[in-house]
Amino acid sequence: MAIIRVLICMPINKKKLAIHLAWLGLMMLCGWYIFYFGKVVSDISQFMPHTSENQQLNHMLGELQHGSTSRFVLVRVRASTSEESAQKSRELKQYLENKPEYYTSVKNGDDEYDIDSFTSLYPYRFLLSSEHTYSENALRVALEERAHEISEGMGLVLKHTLTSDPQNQFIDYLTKISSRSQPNMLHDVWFDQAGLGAMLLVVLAGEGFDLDHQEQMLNYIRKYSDGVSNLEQFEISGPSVMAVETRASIQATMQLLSIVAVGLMVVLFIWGYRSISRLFIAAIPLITAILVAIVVTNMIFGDIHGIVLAFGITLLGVCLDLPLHLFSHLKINESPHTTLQSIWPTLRLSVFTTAFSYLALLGTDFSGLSQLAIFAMVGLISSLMVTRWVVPLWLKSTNEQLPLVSIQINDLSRYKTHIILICIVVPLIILIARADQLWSKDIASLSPVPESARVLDQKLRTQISAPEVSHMFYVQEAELEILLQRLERLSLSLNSAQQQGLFRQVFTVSDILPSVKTQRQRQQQLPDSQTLRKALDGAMSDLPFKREAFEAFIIDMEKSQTMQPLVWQDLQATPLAEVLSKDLYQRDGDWNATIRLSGISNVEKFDKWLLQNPEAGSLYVNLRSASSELMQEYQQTALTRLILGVLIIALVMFWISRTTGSTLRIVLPILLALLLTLGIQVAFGTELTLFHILALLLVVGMGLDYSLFFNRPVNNSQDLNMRTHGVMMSAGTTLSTFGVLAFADIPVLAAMGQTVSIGVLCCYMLSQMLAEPTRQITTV
Amino acid sequence: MIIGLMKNKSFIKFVMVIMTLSPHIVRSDSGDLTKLLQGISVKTGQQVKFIEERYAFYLEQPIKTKGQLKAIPPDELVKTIQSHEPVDQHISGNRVVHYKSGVAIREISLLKQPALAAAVNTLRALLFGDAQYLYRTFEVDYENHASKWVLQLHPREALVKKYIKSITVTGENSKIKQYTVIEINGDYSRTYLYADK
Repeated sequence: MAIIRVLICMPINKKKLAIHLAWLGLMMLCGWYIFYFGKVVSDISQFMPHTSENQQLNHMLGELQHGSTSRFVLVRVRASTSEESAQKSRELKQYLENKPEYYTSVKNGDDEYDIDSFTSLYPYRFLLSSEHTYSENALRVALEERAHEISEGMGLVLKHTLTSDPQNQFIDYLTKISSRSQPNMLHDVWFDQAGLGAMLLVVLAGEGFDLDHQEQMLNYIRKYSDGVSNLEQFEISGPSVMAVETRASIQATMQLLSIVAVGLMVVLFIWGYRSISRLFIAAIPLITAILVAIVVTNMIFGDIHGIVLAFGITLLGVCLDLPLHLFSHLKINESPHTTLQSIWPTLRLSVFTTAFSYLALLGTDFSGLSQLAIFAMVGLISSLMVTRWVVPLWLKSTNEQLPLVSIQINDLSRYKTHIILICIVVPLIILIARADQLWSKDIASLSPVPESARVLDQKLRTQISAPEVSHMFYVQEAELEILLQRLERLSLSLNSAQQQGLFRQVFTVSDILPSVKTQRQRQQQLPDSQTLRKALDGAMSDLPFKREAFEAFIIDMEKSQTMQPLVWQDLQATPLAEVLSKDLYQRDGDWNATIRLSGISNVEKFDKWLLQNPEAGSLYVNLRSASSELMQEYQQTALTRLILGVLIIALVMFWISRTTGSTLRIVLPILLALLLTLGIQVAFGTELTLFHILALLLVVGMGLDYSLFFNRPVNNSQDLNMRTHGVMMSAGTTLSTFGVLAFADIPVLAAMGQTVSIGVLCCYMLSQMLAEPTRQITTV
Repeated sequence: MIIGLMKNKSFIKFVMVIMTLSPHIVRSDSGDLTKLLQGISVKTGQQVKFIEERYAFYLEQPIKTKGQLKAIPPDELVKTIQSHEPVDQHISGNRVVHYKSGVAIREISLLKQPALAAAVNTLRALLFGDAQYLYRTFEVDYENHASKWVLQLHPREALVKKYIKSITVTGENSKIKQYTVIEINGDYSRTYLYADK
């Protein structure tokens, strides 16, 4: 209603119409571009630097987020007894298997490898196994073992393979694959380590990151627990679960935030301006800034990262301040345009200096920072233009001066020196005292996933012995054959390290699929029929087997000598395809493989071994420490660039004012506010992340705005009141949105909210206290 | 037609001769089998000795195994095989675990070994009195002659039929004497059970 009223009241002339049409046209153009070409990426690896050293890490981070493991869902079902839990596990499995369009795989441990499903691989057994020879002695040992096994009741189990594979080569091959860390078994299904809850591993269908579809599939899993009685606990986790829950949590938080923030803003606007329509008018520069910034960033970088978008919009929060200054300075019988002219130099200086300071974010390896800089600069300048040309058209001259209420804290000015000293010393002491715990080293701290969801996911992963992702080797090649050969070489040295006891288990995909070269070598080592028969004859003496019993073995061995080696495609129709896909996959035309280790006994010894084996060392990725190092590097770069940004502001101010005193009055409150914000956060036990630094960029922008306006020369008390009112309204609107955000249970949102709230409050108080408006900055 | 036969004196005589010649052969109904199984049903920790002979097309001579079999209700069997390195087989639920010197050396899921599952589960059904399992899984043919009895089991399930032709159990009173599993290709294993004294 208010906006309609404004539209009706608005006088129309050609110039105004042209400006409105230009602005509307720009908005429509931006909307059209975003709709058709706008691309927002969410992959964390795309936020990381793309240097060659980080290629492995980026790839692994991307794979963890989008690879097959990203669709894994862990379910824990607990009933009153373990037997009942096992029964529920079977029921749930059956329930989920009825929806093959939702789940590509549902496992609860009761479906071990069935030899019948590997029939197509059986003919390749002599090419797949590496640990067998065909001497009389070797065959004798194998046959004796088989005779023992039959006497131990294994006759029914062995009967299908015994005569064609007396060395159990195929069973050994499958056993090696299945012997990878298995969860605890109870009542024939997977159980948690305490033996209380049954565990299931479900793989969701579909590619990519379609959260709506994943939510639908997850809801179907949850629906099971609704209709079942005697279920004491039903837990579900996994990357998709966390993604869906995080989205819901963010949506819920944002909804609440929006309601509270809009409510507070309405109250604030009614209190400050006796008007709600101005709230809509104030939003015009902000909305314009966001749309233009998205378009320009997309055009320059080809896409925009979700993190940049979120923080970019946050940084553009300063755009809301521009019309507020105008509103607060409106006078009786003075056109809004004239009022704007009076404050324009300060507004322009504030915006251009802030935008200029964001230049400091450019030129790093971190493309996220560059995107953010462009986004913020473009947004700020657009909003300034809109405030200059469009906003005054939506305002009408007032006949009545509003009673502008403002809070003055200039009385504290006499304690200036003391306050400055306290603001420097106290935070510094805190920061130095906690220097070693200042920064978060965990990349998970960048994740918006709620802490409770992360804890549950970690718990379920441990319970089901999910593969470790922190220690791995990563190999990439254009050709699969070359990749497999490389893996085999690596596997050889890893096996020797395993024998030295450096780690408990290693799994290489070349164990499932040996290279063609290796298979050919094995073919050449297979004995001919005559040699094999002779060796078998010798081996069988005194054993209970018939002479002709192993004729199938001899025939198959002969066939193996000329058969085509097994290739990747042959495995796709078998259950091994799924096992293989976790560690061998094709991306962008290249073949990628990972080798995962588990049970590293001594990290120092292992690191030493890596140094002694440079080929293995060059392929090793310690995801946790590598991402942690990268995070720290990122944080340090962001902090350095933040300081550089403040330095740029100082230089600009000095260049304009030519006096150190004026420059200090503008810049010192910002520096002190930054120091205080960090000190307060750290004092409350917060580990600083990249997001705290990015949030401080907004504080810098706000701080400069407040400082410039507080130091703006005033002619009388009404001017002083208007100026203070404008800054107070700016700080008030910022606090009303970010203050609510500070209480969000999503760590990233909370970090942003707390940092901006504390920072803005400090900026407001310090810049007002330290300001000397009577001293005029010459250009201003 | 039946009335016609009844009127035929020679037919009635034939029936009477048959009845006279075999007064103690009774083809049982389910009630008799349940009663037999109740008699067999073991108590916790009950132990018998066994000798198992395995005959297979690839064997020149049968492989013989001997040891003790302990049944622990409701469904656990522990088979101790005597050899130069004794092996303990623990059968519980759908899992068979082989232990040598207390260390698990192999683990088999009965869910993926239908032939072994049929052999093991039938023995468990007999020892633990589960007549329902027998009727569900097999065509049951139960005969007794005085104190001796024979149980012929022919698989109903297609998956079991693929591997097992029949299972024959013979016994006396409430004791199982012999347990023979005949596979589809003619291989078979015969287990003799006798009291552990």
